[in-house]
Amino acid sequence: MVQIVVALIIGIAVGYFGLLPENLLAHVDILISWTLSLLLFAVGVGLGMDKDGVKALTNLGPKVLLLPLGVAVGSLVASALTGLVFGQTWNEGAAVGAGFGWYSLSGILITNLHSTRLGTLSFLTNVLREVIGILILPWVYHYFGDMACVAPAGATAMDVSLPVIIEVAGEEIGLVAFASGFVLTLIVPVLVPLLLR
Amino acid sequence: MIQVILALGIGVLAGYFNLFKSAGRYIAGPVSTAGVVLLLFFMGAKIGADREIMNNLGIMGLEALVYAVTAIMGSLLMVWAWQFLEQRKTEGQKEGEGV
Repeated sequence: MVQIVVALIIGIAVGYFGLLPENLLAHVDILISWTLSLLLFAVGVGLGMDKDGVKALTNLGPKVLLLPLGVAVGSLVASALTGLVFGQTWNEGAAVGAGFGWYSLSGILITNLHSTRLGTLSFLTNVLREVIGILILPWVYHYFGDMACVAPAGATAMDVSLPVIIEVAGEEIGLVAFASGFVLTLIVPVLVPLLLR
Repeated sequence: MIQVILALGIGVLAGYFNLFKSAGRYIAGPVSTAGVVLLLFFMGAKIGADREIMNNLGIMGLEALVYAVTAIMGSLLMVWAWQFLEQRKTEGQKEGEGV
């Protein structure tokens, strides 16, 4: 998180004061495309090697897929509607919500595939989703029960939010939360390009 | 665009079949962190160079807040509904057993 914020702020300063050399600026989009592919390859290697994730999915059975599916559909429909209210198209809105809290990827992915404006919006949205998702967990647990604690965290249920979910909703929910975050993490890079096609 | 999905898919397969052995951890760790840092720097540069975005960051933050809250509510609602239906189904089964 710290490196990300520092890199972003330095980047903003460099862009704002026009410090990036002209010839580099012209190739920034191609650089982003290639770095993105490299990053997704690296992320894929990590997910593929993560035998816990694969094991969690096979142990819990196909029914557990319904949970991340519900989280995905709920997020997408809600943000598509929000998009329409804000004068965006439904698929632009849905793409913003399709980050499921994975701000570092969804922001740059949308910047690359659509526009810097929508990418920035997606970055901010998903940072806020992660933070709010953690803050409201005790309330969610109280009113909606333990399974629902997996929903606000979205893709971050497999890493950043996992310890908090376990603390609030109990050890038993840990595996389900991890599996849900794992599935959502896998579908972010697939869903965002499909929505912005 | 398809490039992104392919890169992820190939990565997952390479990781799953352990093609990189111990180097895999290095690729998933430091290499992907370096990628994220580089990308966020570029994204920052694009944001900084865009006067319209820079002037509207406050409003975009509010818009993002609405997006984040509605997305969370939507996902909560779906999971809650799913839980509710599951519960009714198991209760229905219990009643069935009783008869």
